[in-house]
Amino acid sequence: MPIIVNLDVMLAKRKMRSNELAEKIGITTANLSILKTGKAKAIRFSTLELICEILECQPGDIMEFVKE
Amino acid sequence: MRKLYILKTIVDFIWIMSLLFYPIILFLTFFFIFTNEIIDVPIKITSVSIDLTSPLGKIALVAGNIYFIILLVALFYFRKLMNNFRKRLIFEETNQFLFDKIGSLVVVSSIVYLLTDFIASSSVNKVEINFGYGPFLYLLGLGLFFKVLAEVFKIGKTMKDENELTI
Repeated sequence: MPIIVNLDVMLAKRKMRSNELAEKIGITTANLSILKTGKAKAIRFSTLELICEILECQPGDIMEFVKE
Repeated sequence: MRKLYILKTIVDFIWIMSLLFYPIILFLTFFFIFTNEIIDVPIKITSVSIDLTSPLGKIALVAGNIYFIILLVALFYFRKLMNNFRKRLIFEETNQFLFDKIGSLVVVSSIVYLLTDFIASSSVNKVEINFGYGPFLYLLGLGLFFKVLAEVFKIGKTMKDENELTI
């Protein structure tokens, strides 16, 4: 998929662990892992909003479009 | 899901009865193929009383058996499908495969039925043309309906996967 999820980069920048973020968003670590590995087909605006709020970033910081 | 249990009970009953009586039917088939004895009891294949002393009558008997076996296999797959539904496994790849398989078997059985009907009529030198809704059309329609259901389940599975992968 040409959309790359850079969530692990943002997590490293904020020195936050995956399970901590998952707990704060209210999703399972398995689902967060699906998102991180790029296996997810879609992301809800509500989830994106929470991720951006917790990591204090913009949607563009955690996702980027790379032409195939 | 109460309707599912009623349907499963009916299907199980037909399955058990078929398994109980099929060995007898098979034995009688072999008996009539290898002997030329004339019995008073009329043997009907696709509602045509066949002449078991003629070769065409024997072929009709074998074709009738093939038709029955195909429907029995379809019934076996249908029972598997019912079991999956009972376990709440609905939009699964297995179910899509089973629907497609049942559909193919029922379509084939409808063609075998048509051939059997033709052979059975020919064996008694009574070639008929029946207009209207016969078992052939019903079976063909049912088989194609199962095939359409397989496609529907394929779409359903894709939608389910997409829903599961929405975070």
